[in-house]
Amino acid sequence: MDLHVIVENLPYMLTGLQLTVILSVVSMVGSFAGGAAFAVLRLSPWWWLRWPAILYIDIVRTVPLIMVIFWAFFLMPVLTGHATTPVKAALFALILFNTSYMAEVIRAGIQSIPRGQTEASRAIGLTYLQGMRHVVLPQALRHMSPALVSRFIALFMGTSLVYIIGVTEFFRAANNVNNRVYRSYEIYGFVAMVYFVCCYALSLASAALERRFAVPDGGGGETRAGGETGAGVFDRLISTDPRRPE
Amino acid sequence: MAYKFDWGVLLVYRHLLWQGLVLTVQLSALGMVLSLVLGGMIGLGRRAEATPLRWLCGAYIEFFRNIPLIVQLFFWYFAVGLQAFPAAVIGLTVYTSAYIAEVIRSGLQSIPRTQIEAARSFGMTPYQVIRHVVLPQALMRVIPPLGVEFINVIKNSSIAMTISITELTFQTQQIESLTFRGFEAATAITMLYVILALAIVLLMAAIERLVRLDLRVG
Amino acid sequence: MRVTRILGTVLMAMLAVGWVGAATAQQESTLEVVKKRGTLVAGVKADYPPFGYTDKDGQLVGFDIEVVNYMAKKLGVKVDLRPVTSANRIPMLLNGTIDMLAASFTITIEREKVVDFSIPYFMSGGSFLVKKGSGIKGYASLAGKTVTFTQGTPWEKKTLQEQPKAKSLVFQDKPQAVLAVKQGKADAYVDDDIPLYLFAKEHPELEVVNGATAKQPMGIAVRENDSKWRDFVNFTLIEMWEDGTYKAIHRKLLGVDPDPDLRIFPWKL
Repeated sequence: MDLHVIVENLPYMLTGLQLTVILSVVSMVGSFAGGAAFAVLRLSPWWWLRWPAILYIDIVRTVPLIMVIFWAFFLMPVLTGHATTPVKAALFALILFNTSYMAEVIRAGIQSIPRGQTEASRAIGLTYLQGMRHVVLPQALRHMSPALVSRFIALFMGTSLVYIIGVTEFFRAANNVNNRVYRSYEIYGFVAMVYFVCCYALSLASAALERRFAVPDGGGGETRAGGETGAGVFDRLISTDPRRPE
Repeated sequence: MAYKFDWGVLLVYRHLLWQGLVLTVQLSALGMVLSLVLGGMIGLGRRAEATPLRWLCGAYIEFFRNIPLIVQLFFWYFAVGLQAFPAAVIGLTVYTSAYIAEVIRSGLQSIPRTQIEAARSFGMTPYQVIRHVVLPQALMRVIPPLGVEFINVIKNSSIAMTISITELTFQTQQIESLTFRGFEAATAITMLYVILALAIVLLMAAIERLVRLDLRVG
Repeated sequence: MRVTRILGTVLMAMLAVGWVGAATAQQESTLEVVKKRGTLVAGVKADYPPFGYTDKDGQLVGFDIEVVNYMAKKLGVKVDLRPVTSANRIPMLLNGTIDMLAASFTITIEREKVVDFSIPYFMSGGSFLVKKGSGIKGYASLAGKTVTFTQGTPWEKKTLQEQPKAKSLVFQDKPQAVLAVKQGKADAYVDDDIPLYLFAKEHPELEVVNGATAKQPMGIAVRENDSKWRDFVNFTLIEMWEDGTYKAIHRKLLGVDPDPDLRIFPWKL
């Protein structure tokens, strides 16, 4: 066990970890905005707004993240008309992918607030927007928070996949090192440890949030399954368990 | 850059698409079955009476859920040195089993204790309790999230391309590098993934119907 | 329902097609664009000694990087090196991310159809990297064996042409393919000879067997329909040869003089 290689290459790998964190945070913020937009569309009474949103959400959640990354790589320069860096393509892919999940989380969060709350806020004289801002949204956000942290964890782990388009985040940095020193046990063991520590800590936070803001079946709607998770396709055709907020 | 579409490449290279599909299906099917068995056991273990077992299963779940699948695959293939397909199957199974264990655990947990106590007070043996009270309800609760996890297996199988498995996503790259027609390849393969997911959805629906029937009769 | 879903996917793909049509051809030559921008963005390899690799401090170094630096100095601009893989290097050039590709790129007809190559600036043959004493001599001895390649290189196609009975194993990075031979997962790794020599030096249990192909030219790739830019690349390569820089870099990084078959300058009239 030659831990020397890890120590020697630590600065380089930590730079990669920095990028991983940046990618995760930026994608999270971006996909929250996008997800909120799509959640609203999804809940819209007009079918011509609702159905494109449903299609987008369902299809993107059914496709592997690697495929979305490839798509973003081919598609983005075409859409923007000019050059793109792998980092930008990676962000585009991650936001594109995560938005669909966030849309579902946000939608479930909004729907978890009983009608009565909105009605009561109107009854005491608040306008629709005021009601939203002071009554509904704060509660919805609290309900969503465990699921949001779960999605962040999934996103954090998902950044390891942008390795294939050459982004030098943590996993690729570790790979570049291993490609030079060939100490797979040590390097990949180290990588596994780092991811575990980070994600486990975050999952403890998520569990704490869930305990504090416990809602029957949670505003999140789905537990963090499989990293690259969920199948709206599935939800659409089967809705059995009455406890699932469908 | 003017892009000339050439859907014909899909026809010319259909053998690659087929190979990709076969491998994805093989890898996913094995992953699903094995991780269901393994995850089922760990999920049960998580609810065991003995604390060490409970703790061990809990640790297993947390460990393998919080490490990205690609890291796990690389570990099995490059560090441990297994052959590609076994490494992919083992990696995918271990990773997924952690998630399935959670599903099973929460399914079992959702059965109120009082039901079991009531059943016992009726004089049912532990086996009868499980067979007639716990299992039917647990199965119903567990089928939807299991379906979700199975679809995840299909999606996660794509990661095996990084350890040389020539499944569907690998073929996207392969066709692209042979013909430079990335769009066409990606479109076709995306549709294949959607179809595969739909297959799982239908499968789970059928299973659910079977379980419901059994509930009524049994 | 599912029909709608599949239609939806097709629709999205078609929307993408519509956008593609809107992409206009470049009016300005890359030469002007680079000068204006003040930076030359070049795609290089990051895992492929001696052409492009990361040294211990994480810096990108190598033969191709030296060539790129020379060009940037000539233009009076800064250099922005982008690591590419064999699989993504062409898309990155075509979609405009990089201005030029100096990534150990062999000139082939298939590639010439989508990019433009400079005059050859390196000669490299294909070879086999095998375990010492494996007895592998050439394509004939690969029957029934597992051969490994890097995705995006022309070697898989070539090998399967020469030896249809070989089984292939494809990786994303070169060192991963080397590891496969070391671990016995593959009997041979077919790739360009120069990096294989370096790999063999690092791993004494491996050796290089020649004969995968005759020597082939490598070129710098640029986008099509950009004569000004390609001319600049060519003239600069010629300058590099004539002022001795090329020979110096070659000696420094490879330890030998350039291949006598390599002629970077066209005949002087």
